[in-house]
Amino acid sequence: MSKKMIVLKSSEGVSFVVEEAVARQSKIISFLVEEFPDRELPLTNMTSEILRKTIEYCKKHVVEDDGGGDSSSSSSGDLKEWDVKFVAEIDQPRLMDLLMAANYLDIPSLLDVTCQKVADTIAACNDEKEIRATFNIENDFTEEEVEAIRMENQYPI
Amino acid sequence: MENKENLPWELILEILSHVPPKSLVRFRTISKQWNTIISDKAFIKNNKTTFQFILATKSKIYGVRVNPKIEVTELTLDIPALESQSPRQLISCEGLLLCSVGKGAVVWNPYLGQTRWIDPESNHPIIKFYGIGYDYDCRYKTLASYKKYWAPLTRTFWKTHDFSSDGWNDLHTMVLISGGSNSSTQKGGSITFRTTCGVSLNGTWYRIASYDKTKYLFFLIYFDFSMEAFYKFCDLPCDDNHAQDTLVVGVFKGGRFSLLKQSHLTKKIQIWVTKNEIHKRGGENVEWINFMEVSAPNLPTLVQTRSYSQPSFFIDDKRLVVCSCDETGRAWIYVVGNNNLISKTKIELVVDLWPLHCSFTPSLVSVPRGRKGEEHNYKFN
Repeated sequence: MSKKMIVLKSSEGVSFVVEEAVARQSKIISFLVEEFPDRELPLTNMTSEILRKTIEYCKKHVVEDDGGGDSSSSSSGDLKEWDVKFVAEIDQPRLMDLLMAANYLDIPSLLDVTCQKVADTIAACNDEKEIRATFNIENDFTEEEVEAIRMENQYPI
Repeated sequence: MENKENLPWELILEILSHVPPKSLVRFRTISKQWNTIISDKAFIKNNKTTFQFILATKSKIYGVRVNPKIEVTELTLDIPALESQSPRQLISCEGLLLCSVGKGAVVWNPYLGQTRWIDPESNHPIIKFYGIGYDYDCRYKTLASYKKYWAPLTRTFWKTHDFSSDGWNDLHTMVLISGGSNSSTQKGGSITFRTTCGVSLNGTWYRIASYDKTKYLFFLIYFDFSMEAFYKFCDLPCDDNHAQDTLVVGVFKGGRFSLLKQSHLTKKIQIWVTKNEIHKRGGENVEWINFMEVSAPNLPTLVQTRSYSQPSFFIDDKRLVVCSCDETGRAWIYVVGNNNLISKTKIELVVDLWPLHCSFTPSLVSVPRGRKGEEHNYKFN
């Protein structure tokens, strides 16, 4: 039995042909496929690079229904390991893009792994300026206020 | 790290919910918005790295998160003494844990990774620890008791430990003043505590007790850390109690009480909650409402008389989540709701039998050193 394919189009106009089951991990695509069957789905705010990454993730995580009930293509331990490697290979700006793509397409598990990776990075970061730069945040505290919070946070010895 | 577009705030929140609270505390100075969210109790509670039960065995401490899948994490507590001695008690006190080990106790905030020892006075009889609270001057104290070898075993002597001075104070009085209309009359009658541990709320410590003469008519008493005395707080809504019934009080929605009762005979579980938030001075106005009543045939026995192991629990929306040992001493998590047992999960990772356990609400309250509100101590609202 041939699997049903759908076409996703990136912001650069590149078409990706994907198995429907793979793409349906996105709740948004799942919805769009039902509303507009047999149509190309334009994802105008996703670059080809990010869309390719997203599809790579979805392919790995698709739960194959081969008639014998649900059976994931990999064991959950292997999948976890694969996820860690998957996000480790992506640089920070692209990771942010992928996180936003996961949010936009509504893929909870991908949002979870990308958030975790960004969270690990900032947890390991000791430089406030770097954090502010990452999130484009302006420091709206006065020096006295910062000092007051630091005092509160001081660990008692 | 750089980011060409601004992340929407909801995504920043999502990311921050994956950062362990210990690291988050450092980011309070990033901006006012960050400070507000990091200081928010609900935000800390939903953090992906937090847990709702703490279990302690003779060599290890675990955090359990019901998410709703049950996730168990082994926690590290950098106290060498814990490696050689098993903890005797594990008490949850508004975001802090009180864990008695050897002759003393450790006060611990597992999120901030802060610990502090409470040492007994030298040559003092073994101390039993009960809870942490603070007085009007915001001085943190710990309540403890001991037995004197020459006094009858039924007689308990009380003392408090002051965190700021690191000193102990013996209490000479243990008068129970009754609340309500006849609050002027003092009842010196002796009272008995239920075997369950107490509960801390807003710096006050509460516990289930009864007068010796009306054995199974239970009420709550509290220990006032300013007056350093016990007072009756309010009656409990359950009647027809038996010695082996489960009766545990907990905190509900941050500021209210919940009460879990399981009949030893019928296994029926009942939950009451107070209608309003609890205030130390408002015992006579407490109104209990029925929250849940479950009498499904497959309910587990929550109390094991063999080890006096009592269940710990919390209420999540409409469900009751209980941690309890079975008759062999293995720990389980039970989820009860819709008049049924929804799930039961054995905590496989905890191999040792009869672990100590308590329910736990995460907080960023520093382990007390001096007065609350001074120096390092801040309390999030």
